[in-house]
Amino acid sequence: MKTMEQKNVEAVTAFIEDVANQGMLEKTDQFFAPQIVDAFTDRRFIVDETLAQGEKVVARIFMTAVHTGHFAGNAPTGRTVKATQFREFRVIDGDIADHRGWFDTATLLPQIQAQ
Amino acid sequence: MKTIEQNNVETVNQFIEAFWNQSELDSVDRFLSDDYQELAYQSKEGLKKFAATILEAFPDKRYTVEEIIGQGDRVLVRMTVKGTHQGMFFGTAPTGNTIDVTLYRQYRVVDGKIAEHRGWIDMVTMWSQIRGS
Repeated sequence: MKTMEQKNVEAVTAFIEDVANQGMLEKTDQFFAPQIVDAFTDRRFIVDETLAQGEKVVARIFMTAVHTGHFAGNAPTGRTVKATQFREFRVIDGDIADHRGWFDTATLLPQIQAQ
Repeated sequence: MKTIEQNNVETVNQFIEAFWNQSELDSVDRFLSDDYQELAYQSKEGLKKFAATILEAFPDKRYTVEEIIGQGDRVLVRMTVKGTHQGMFFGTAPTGNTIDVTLYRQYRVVDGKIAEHRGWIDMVTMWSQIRGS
């Protein structure tokens, strides 16, 4: 017998790993979000870890991509990067009611800065 | 009767208030376990040093917990830090600009003590606000 939280985590994981939803995973409220899709190509999203409580699920996601365009003052490096994103979901009766994402840039910047 | 998750969330909220807002740096002694693992700032001393750097750069800094959830021994927090850039911050002289930056912190709480911490912050937004661009 699965708990509600386990079912919610399964719904969220399936959502994130469905490439049809990738466009939604690339959107955040951060001012630079539109630059992400221009500066990074071959973007893939995988779930790293989830936390669930009641109707809430927070997923920590890895976006792997290749740095092929200018981002935050950094010229393209051609490097493959691994960016962390947190995405918070509300799941009601098995359906995702809403979600919001946020990119961690503290771990992204050192990967694309000139050495 | 509180659940273990509720107790863990309460411990983390109390630590954030004492350490990050009241700047009681020695509160690490009562909140953190002896075998504490610091995955963002290297060590307990590194954590205290970073908090002192932030306090010097943003003396009016205020951390606000916006979301906090617990599952098992893990607690995840989304918070904001707001403040005015009034001191040196990693080589950048005070600008007087204000910051309002989101960060996430994840803790592991064991027997009422914080045993592990990791952190993530949006430095692109923070530097953009510091530079006023």
